[in-house]
Amino acid sequence: MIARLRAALAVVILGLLLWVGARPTGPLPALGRFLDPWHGIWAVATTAELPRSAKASIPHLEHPVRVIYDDRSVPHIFAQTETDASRALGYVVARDRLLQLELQARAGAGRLTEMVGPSAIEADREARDLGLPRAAEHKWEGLDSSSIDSRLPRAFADGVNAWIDNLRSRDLPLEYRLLDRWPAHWDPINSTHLFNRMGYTLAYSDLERSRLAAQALVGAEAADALFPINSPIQEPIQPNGQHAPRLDYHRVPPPGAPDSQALLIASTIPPSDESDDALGSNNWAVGQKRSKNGNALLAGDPHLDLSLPSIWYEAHLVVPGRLDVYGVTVPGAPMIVLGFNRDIAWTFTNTEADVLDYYQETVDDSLHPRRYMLDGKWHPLELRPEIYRGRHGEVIATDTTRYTHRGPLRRMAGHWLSFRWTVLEGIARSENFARAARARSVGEFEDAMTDMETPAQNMLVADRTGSIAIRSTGRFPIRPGDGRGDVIRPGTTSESDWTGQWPVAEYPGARNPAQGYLASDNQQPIDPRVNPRYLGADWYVPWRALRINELLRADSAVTPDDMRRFQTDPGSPRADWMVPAFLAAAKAVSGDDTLARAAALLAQWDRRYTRDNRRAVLFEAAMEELPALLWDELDDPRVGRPTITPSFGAVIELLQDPDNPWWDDKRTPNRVEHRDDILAASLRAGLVRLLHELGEPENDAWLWSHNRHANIYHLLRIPAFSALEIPMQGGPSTLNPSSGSGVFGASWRMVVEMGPEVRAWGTYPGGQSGNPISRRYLDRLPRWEAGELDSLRFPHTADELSGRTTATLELLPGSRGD
Amino acid sequence: MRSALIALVLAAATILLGWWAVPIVACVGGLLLAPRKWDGARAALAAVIAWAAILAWTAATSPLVKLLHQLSSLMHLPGWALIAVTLVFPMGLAWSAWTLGREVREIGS
Repeated sequence: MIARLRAALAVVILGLLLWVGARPTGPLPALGRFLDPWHGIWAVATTAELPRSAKASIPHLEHPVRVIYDDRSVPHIFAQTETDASRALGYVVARDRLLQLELQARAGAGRLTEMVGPSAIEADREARDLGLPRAAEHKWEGLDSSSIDSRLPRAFADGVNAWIDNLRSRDLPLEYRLLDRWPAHWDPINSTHLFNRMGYTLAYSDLERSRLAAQALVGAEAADALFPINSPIQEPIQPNGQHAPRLDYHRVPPPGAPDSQALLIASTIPPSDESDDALGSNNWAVGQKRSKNGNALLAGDPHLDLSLPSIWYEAHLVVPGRLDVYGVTVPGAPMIVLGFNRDIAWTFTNTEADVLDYYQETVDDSLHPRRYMLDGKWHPLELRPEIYRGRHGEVIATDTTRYTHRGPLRRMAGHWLSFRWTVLEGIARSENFARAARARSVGEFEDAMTDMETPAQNMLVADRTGSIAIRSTGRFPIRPGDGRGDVIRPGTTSESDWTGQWPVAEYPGARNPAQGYLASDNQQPIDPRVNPRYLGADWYVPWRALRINELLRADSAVTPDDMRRFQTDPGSPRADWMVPAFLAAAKAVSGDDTLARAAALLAQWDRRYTRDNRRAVLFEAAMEELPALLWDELDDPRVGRPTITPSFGAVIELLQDPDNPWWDDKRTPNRVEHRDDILAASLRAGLVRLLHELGEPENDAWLWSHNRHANIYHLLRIPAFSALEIPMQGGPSTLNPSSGSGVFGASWRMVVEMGPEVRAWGTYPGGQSGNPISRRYLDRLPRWEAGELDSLRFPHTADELSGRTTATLELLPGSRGD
Repeated sequence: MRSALIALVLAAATILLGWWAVPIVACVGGLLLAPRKWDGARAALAAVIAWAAILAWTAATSPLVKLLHQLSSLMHLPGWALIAVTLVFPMGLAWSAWTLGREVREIGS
């Protein structure tokens, strides 16, 4: 009897364990595969570091390729052809960043649900509604298969798939085990998905929405002033001959009558997720005459989403006699994106140009349109079925996206809007970067980038002869009529359509200017007095540009270490501009003791955002209070506060106009406020809030390091794999911006000296490995946090790395499955 | 001695075939080897020793402890609990499969 019971119990236990061992249960992966000590989750520890030496084969590889990893885990790829170099790059990137490759491509393709399940459906819908996957297909189909634009992504795919095809269960990255998935094959079109996704990050704006929302509340004239086409502080990228910034003052007209039609349309435009100006970038260069060593110097630090692993991957590609380029690539791109070779160095900032326009369309059916009206005739819409699949291939949702000749058509709040966006047009370009990597001079680099289509960037380049240059890249549309792109145009007439694009000769740019340096920080690139043609609106106030230009003007013997120091400079023109205004207001207004105390505390501030500073937090508190007090006319009645924030340029202009009606707080009908009343009230309210939240001003809680941080999340936002609450030097609109959520920041810092021998320094937050267990996952973080850079190794030959080699990889021609 | 050999076979089979090898080896052991007192429990212990030995080797050659800390933080479980689950799983598989194999053998004989 006992034996039978024991046998029955054994059957039950065995059945149960086999069940949970073989099948996922709820959020848990199949436990057998997961817990297996040799093949399962524990094996992740054994593959955390690269083996000292390894061999692999890649299909279509033309010749053997040697890869040497230096002591910073940077792969130096020695190949015999450019396509082989891209194959090897695909292999080494997949080896270190497989999850990132797949996630980024799926985000652009609108297919995240197939990997992570229905929780990602809104992100997928957004990508598909924006037309990103359709655009990628069109761009890819438009390629000549023999062109470098096609060959490089295909070669890169060969490398990625060689790694995936030979992946042992022990090599599977940790996150795939948690997701209980095997990596998908890499399609060459994924490189295009990646660039489209970058286009979305860098060139999608909701300018029209913000402006229209303001128009709905205060009329068109006031809205134009709140989101001005030209920056009130002119410090353009293209030098305009000034030796100091120029304030172009225009009086902000008083709030006008509401426009209810505008509100309806504004609500149809999805907001962009760009939340603050930490999502910007810096670059600058000095020519021979202003550098201590007589060599051109270049610095760049793109401010993007901070993530673990980093958006960047560092590599060196060598093809003797053809290519010798070092820099960073975005995993999925088949070439170096930012970097240097023996003759030039280059980097980008985002142009912030307006390359997306909306059109209000008339359709034949308000719910399921099939046609749209254009020039008095109905035209068929392109209908594209969208099928969203889950992790096991099951259909979880279906949809239809619609397209006019302009681009995607979206319905919200009863209106149909189409939009045209340069990111969705053109072909999938890889050649620009391939040619840039081979350029020998500033001129050759500019030629290489001439037909780069998207995203629009300010490309800065320096060469070994001492030349420096900057020029915008990308396509900038020309609109009809007044040329403005910040308004919604009627879709029923083709007269609303773009009429062309800027000729390259007109692009903002300069080469070897008399001032001896060049800089760009996402500000308005060209002085409207030089070229008034519309390029965009609501530009960043050029705070960072003011600071870097101030530093560069003051130093006629710049060293590479100065360039590094500038990248984390804690000075703030924004504070220099606003602190005196707050203090003057506090003096002018007869306030109480709290206001006097606030002013006294603010006056103690040296206007620098250093970690140990205890007063920056008060200034920021006052700046946070200001919009709610100033922009009461823009209060959203549903939430009782402004939901749109006008350009800070409008504040700059209002500061010159103390009695402007905008300063009056309509919520106090028996009193008329002026500029100083609002500024003083903001400062006072800031102090009251801080005393409540942080205690007395001498408390450590007032330290800047306790209040603003960098927060670097793992790609799946797993806290255990993230680096959070990193105290930073820098604040809003400083050269090293640290604001708000802390999820944006300097994603890569680089300084290059173009001497007889190129010398370069750089780092990014994180490490080369995507494996959270690897010591190469976060090894660069401490130096990044401290504002220090690593010396980048740029050997002419593999032998020069001897003594600094940490791993080698031999790649051989082979067929799939070798 | 027999338990040590079984542990060795279980470790090797796990490395070669994966976790499925544990119930298969245990079931075959129960079917083919002469019954002894507590042999199901001995098989369970051998499985624990086999997987623990693999983990110990992994810990000696790689940052397993770091991984344990990360997983512990991720899953909101103490590290020892993760190790315990990892060892209890083959223990249950080995005991139940061995017992089943032995019962089948007894029915057959």
